[in-house]
Amino acid sequence: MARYLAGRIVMLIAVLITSTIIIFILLHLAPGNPATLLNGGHPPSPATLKYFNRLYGLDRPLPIQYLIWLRHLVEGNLGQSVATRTSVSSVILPRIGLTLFLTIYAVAIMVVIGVPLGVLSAVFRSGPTDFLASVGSLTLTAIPTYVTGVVMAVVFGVVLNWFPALGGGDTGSFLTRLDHLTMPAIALGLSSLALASRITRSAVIGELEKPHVTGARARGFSPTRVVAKHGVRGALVPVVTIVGAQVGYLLGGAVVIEYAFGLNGLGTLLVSSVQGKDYAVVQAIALFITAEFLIISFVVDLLYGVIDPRVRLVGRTA
Amino acid sequence: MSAVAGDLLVFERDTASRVAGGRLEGLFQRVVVIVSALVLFVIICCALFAPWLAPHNPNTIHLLNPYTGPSAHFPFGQDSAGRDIFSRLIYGARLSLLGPAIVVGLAFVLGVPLGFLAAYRGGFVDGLISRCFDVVFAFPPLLLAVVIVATFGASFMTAVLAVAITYIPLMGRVVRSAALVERSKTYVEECRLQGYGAWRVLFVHMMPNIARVLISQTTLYFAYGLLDLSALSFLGLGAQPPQIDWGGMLENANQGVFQSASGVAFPAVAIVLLVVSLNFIADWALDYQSRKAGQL
Repeated sequence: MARYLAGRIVMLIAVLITSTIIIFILLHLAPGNPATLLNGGHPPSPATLKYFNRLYGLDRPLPIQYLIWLRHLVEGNLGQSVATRTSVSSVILPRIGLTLFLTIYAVAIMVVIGVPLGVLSAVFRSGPTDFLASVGSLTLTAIPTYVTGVVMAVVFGVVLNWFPALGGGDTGSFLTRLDHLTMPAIALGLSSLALASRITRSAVIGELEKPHVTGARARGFSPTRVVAKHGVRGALVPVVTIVGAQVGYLLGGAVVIEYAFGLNGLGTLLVSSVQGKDYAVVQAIALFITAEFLIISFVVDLLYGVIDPRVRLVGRTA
Repeated sequence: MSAVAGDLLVFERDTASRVAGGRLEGLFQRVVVIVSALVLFVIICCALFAPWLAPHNPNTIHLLNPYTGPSAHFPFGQDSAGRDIFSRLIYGARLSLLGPAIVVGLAFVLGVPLGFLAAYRGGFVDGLISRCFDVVFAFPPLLLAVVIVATFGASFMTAVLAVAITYIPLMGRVVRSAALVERSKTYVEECRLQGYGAWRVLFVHMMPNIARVLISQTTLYFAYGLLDLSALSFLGLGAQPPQIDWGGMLENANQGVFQSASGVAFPAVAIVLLVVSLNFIADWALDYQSRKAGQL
């Protein structure tokens, strides 16, 4: 296991560094420069251009700029937002909480409801309920999150008035926040929930048909034990895969949901920074979300090793 | 739904076709597929014949009656600037179909040969291509597209290219794993012994055997491409006015959703109908091909 872990950590660091290079280069390719932006979009005089290029270090060679940027990054200095003229971290930090809350909430909804639902429909399969569930989940996976969001805001927020339709409950306590983010989290997690339950269902069905499960039944174990200990255990690899993949999707989807519900999270800031060409902020948010995604993928990889001992031995001669 | 999930759905469908229950089968499946094909046909007709089908100019503004519900003159109501939602929906079909079509086209033209090559050559070539794919997979799908749009400015073509970049490696990876299975079969070895070149083996001999996966994958990617592009348009990062697409219509309607829900409802229904239909068609294609393979 230690060797597997070490290999994964090296991979994680390599991919993290690659992603910083990609994001750095991508945003460097962007046309325009801070001097033009500060000049209201008009081309600045050569002296002004030179001054601002010097101020932001744009007159150095590209690899040097990257290394300086990386060093600042490690030190926690994310640069300055051109739009607000304050440090990027001061713009981003107050918003991280909402985004994390929303994403974790949505992931929890997906895992806590979706996976058991899949197991149940695998056990009670072939009935009309299962058929309806399949058609229902296929439809749910096809509905984009922003549509779910808008429809829910109107139905539950305005018509029924169960939940607040707008805002993230920024100043309130944990419960206020929970109240405000329930609808966005459901809207964000619903299609992933449907997908997770579909994948779980077929993985568990596939496992229940295997001889070792028949063997467990023949030995007289209770149906609950057969499903829980023998069926679900073997089906965990595809379930973990889909959950991991969906978390990546939820991180991207959160951007759209925040925008739809008008929440003050990283996503709305990302969109407004893209529109306002505030590249330092775009870079920082992109890096933050990518790092989250990579760390989750890393945890999923470790889980494979825990679930399936064969994975740990890959690359080792038997 | 993300395209990564799409790959798992194909896995799910493969498992599901081996185990009974909870599936669309027989007559019912045929009816569903025919309805889906009709939906697709109607939407394609809208895109092709928009100028003849639309009752109004989609960009004509009637500022005096914004957010008006359906009326005799405007069957689906009017949007924030009083424009005819019905006509905009018909015209919007054009970019809403063209965008995903370009995404899928690029994913096919670049992803398929790369995936084939990686599987067929193996070794260094495989390593190089697979690592390049991994770089793209390191980012959450929609995020990469947003950053690319940030770099090159928001427009329809930028959004399409940005989404395409995330689909090329997805297609490549699927093709690679399908081709890896084929490569180990005796007919490929036979072809090699005959001295056929790599491309001849790939396109003439291996292609028909992985067509099943390719067709259903392409159909699914079209659906997800539509969802991704609509999401970008919804964020104001896709097609810019006066260009019309369904995601952009949603964005516009969302701002006035409390005045009128019809502006949200119609483009939303159009997107969902198209995506669900494509899903059913992909499902059927996979089934149809595997039944044919079973008969051989």
